[in-house]
Amino acid sequence: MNSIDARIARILAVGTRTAVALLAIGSVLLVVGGTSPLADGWPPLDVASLPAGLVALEPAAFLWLGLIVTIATPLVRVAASTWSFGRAGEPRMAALGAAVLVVIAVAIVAGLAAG
Amino acid sequence: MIVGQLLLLAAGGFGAGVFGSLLGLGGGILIVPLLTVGFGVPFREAVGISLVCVIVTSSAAAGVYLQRHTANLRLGMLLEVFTATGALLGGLVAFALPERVLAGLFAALLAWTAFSMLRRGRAEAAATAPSTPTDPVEGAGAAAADQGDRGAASASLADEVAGPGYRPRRLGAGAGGSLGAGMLSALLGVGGGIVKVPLMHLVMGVPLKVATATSNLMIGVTAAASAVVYLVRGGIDPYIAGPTAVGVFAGAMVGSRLAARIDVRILRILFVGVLALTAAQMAMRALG
Repeated sequence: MNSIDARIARILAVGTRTAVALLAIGSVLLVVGGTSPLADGWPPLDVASLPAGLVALEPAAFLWLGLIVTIATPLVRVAASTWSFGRAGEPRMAALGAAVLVVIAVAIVAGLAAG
Repeated sequence: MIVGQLLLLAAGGFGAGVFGSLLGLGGGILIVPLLTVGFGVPFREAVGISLVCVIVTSSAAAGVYLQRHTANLRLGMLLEVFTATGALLGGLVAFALPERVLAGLFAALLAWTAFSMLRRGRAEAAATAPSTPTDPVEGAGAAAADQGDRGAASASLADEVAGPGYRPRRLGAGAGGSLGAGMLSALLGVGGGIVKVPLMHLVMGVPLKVATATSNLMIGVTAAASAVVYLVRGGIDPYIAGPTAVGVFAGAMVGSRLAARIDVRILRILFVGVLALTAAQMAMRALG
């Protein structure tokens, strides 16, 4: 139990720091590029173009990646918990974690379908 | 001009992070009014940004709670199934509801939060230190004593999510309340701790410290379930979310260090006033 808690705590810490660092870099690049954060409209999320945007130091690429890492961090925590409980021989806890991941998958599909 | 706008957003987020941390709030209750009233951001966009900020503060705090073994990971995972489902439903409904309805709901939530904080402050002032039941095990005793409503199946599940000295009861009520908390989170961009903490503590018999820490752990997943919907539907503005979330993170870090040095009672009274004023502004917006 303690090792699972420690592993999950590490995942949360690393994920949060990475996300905040990416968001901070993107915010600084906004200023450098002369883009107002309160401007009307924003570039849409295009996952395929993120690597090129990061290489080109585009603020939107860093901000989108930071937002993705932010949202993914608790989900990675659930996935890691599910895996850990499965390995520890706690099938009911693992099933609960899997159920949460299914709900998230449905949220993605429903969001895409509705959008 | 641009630097000023960015600093204002970060400073607003910082303030929300500090106050949220000092007062035990996720910060969402402050960020939505900050963005809508302070920066003129449309309500639904403000909710999407607030959800991101709530995830940041929850993930940062939950890691610490787990290291200290205050949060109950198993109980959190059980209730997350329901908060995430509620958040999914709420995230979809949020795009169908008029913004005025959402603003009206938020005004009601602000008023309720102000009332709850005022009541909590009076209760703390009235309580005498030696007789205040702050020991987690004390709450646990009550939980362990009330086991009459458990069936065989839920009994074993309750055993599985039990912690040192306590055993959660009324899992069905906990599941239903968690579903509602998830919907509230998705509709209004808040963590939902104002529902989850009393639910776990008063209804399920979980010690207050554990309920608070476990609620914080769950908030990240709850908000992520609806944030995913907002993200894929283009409902999150990255330009505003970035500096605001960085400010909230920094503010939460500072707030957690200030907590031991500041008289939170005075802060709470001031904050109740701010909440009441903001509730009035939100209500006026809802009424057009």
